[in-house]
Amino acid sequence: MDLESLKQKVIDGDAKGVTALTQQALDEGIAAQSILNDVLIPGMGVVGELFEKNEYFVPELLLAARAMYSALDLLRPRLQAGDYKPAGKAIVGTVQGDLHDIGKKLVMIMLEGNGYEVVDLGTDVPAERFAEAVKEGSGQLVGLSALLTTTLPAMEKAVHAIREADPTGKVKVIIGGAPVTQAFADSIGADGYGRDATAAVTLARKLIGDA
Amino acid sequence: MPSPKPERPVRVTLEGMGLEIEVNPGISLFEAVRKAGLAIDSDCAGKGTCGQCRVHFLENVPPAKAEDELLLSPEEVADGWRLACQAFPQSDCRILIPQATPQARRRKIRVLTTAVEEELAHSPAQRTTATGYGVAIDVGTTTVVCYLMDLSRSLQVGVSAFANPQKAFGPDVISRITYAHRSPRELRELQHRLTAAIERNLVALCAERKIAPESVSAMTVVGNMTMMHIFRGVDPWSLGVAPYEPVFLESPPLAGRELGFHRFAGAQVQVLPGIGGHLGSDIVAGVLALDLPHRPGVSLFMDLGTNGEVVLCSGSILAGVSCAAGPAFEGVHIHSGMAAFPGAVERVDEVDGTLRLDTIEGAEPIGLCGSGLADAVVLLVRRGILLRSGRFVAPDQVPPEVPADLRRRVQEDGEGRRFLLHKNGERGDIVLMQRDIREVQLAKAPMRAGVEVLLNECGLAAAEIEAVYVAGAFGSSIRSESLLALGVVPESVRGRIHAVGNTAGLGARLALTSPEHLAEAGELARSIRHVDLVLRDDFREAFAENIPFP
Repeated sequence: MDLESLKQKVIDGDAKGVTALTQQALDEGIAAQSILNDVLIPGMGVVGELFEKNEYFVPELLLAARAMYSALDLLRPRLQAGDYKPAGKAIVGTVQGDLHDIGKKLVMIMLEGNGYEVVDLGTDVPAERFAEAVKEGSGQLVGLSALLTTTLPAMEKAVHAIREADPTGKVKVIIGGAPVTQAFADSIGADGYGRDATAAVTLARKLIGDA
Repeated sequence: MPSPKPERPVRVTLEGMGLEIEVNPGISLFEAVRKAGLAIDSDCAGKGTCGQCRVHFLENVPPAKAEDELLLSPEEVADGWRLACQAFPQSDCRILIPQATPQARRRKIRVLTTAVEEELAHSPAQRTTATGYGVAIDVGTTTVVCYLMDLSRSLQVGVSAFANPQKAFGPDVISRITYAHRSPRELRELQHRLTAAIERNLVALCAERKIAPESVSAMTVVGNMTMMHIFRGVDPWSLGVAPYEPVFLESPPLAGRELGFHRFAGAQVQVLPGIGGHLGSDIVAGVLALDLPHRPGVSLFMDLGTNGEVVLCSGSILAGVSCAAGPAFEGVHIHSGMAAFPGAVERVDEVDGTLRLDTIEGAEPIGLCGSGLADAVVLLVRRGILLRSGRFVAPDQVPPEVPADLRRRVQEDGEGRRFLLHKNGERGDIVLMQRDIREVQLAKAPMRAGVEVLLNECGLAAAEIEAVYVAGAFGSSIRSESLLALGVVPESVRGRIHAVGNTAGLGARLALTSPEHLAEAGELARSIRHVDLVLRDDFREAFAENIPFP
């Protein structure tokens, strides 16, 4: 079958089409891992580029994500049965005091769309909860999100708690959100700042590598 | 790379103002200018994210920072433009602050008057036993309006409107909350800046009307929840962190002196009660002014200013939401955006195939305010230059029927697609960038989503809404057609939209002049149910659904 058309359907956000073509590809004996690596990830890469160029916006990104997840649902059991390893594992959450999660959701989509496994701690997450997740070894990367200036101090607290939980500094912390800047990231000792969801992927690749 | 620090203060000449200031090492130009008591525009309070504080270095240009490269064009950077908040002058220099030129300083604030106010003015005077004078104050995040009333006759004798001096600490409530929370000193500073500005303007108004300030015996004050807290000197921090709750809803009557007034030390000050969350007494006053519960059928009240608030009313059922709409319609985060001051483009039309811009007071166009921004976007969507998704079409994909004057304005370069509205304005070209359209979409979608959630909450359908009353600075200047075309309100309310002006100020005057209305404000504040949007799935869905244009 034509895997290009499956990729295009991901980009177009056609969930039904993606489900049908993914099933067809699996039926034809194409490996789940190659559907993921050769179709879904490059497809979401294109989506990310379009988003970064402002050609795509939140609704298009959400539609593409829905299409991607409908394929992932079919692939996951097979990936888990095989010796598939994700590109990396990330923990994400909106810091304490902040209930806004659209930015975090977009970051999750872009990370998962690029082969990372993501543990979502939700919104209004206390610093201790991030630290616990790090101690439990849930990820090599932590993404912190904040929408309000008022919750920036909570972000700083979370970074400190993560550092305490991981004195070797193996776990990397990236931050983002409307009030966050590179200067703020530097001042609280975060490993990276991303302007948007696609920047999170670039940072993840740089900081914890790629499969 | 850290910049080498100068050892002594440098002298910066402010061109065109006949002023010189000293800038100490480690202090940004932005801070130094502000410390000198001069205003400099900023939407991000100097964090280097908004690009509003651009200044022109005429000599000894400091090195460009990443923020400069990001927010200014390469030509501007090469020409010596820098963000004041990122500039740390290394040696004596001369700069030009574009916003501080004499034309920009002659700003006047228009006070909204509408049919509803006319109604009030012509209604028979309330019977009252009060004597002396009173003041009704509407404290907006951006603008403060004071109405001086003759209490014995319930007659308005003067009005004074001025910019909220807290604007220097950020354009939105969140930045004010952040500043106020730093320490009790900063909280007092915010409170006193406001009360001092009110006092100064009121004393001037009293002098004009030959009234002794001491004869002002009463004040009623309305505002959003953050303004209510800061006015009373109460730390608004809990409004800024989850679950975003106020410290108080109702306020006892206070003496003017407790709030920092001197000439009005003896006046009794009543802050009207708020509803909950960020829904403050300005919304209570609006509902009171419109007498919403006694209007037949289902009605919707929208206050569109720096924040967007919506109240749905069906007889005795009242529910309200506060939408984090984002300040795009205040001109914030918009490339050529500005507040509604002279020179702001407030109308954009296509007339006989050419683009026509109308500015406030007919001044030379400087930038776009909310209503002009809305008009422009609506025109571009109607002409197919913007797709429903909000994406600009490529210059060679403009539909064939679009007239040449509009067509040539659709441009594309390395930075993306844009629409040129006006060439060579005071601050450079007035353009609409692709990312501006995205800001508009992010501002309008939550307002509509708020309407949808209220309809869900009350079990009503959009078609049942019989009247939409639109208040607030932006709400009063935007065309009804634009509200429909942007999708802020559902298509079914076409022909049922009424601009009602500053209802908050009207309600404050009613509560000032009549005890019945004051009591009613208390009842309303308790009966309007505050619906919290942030954790609702139906809000998220409606938000995403309403990002495209209808």
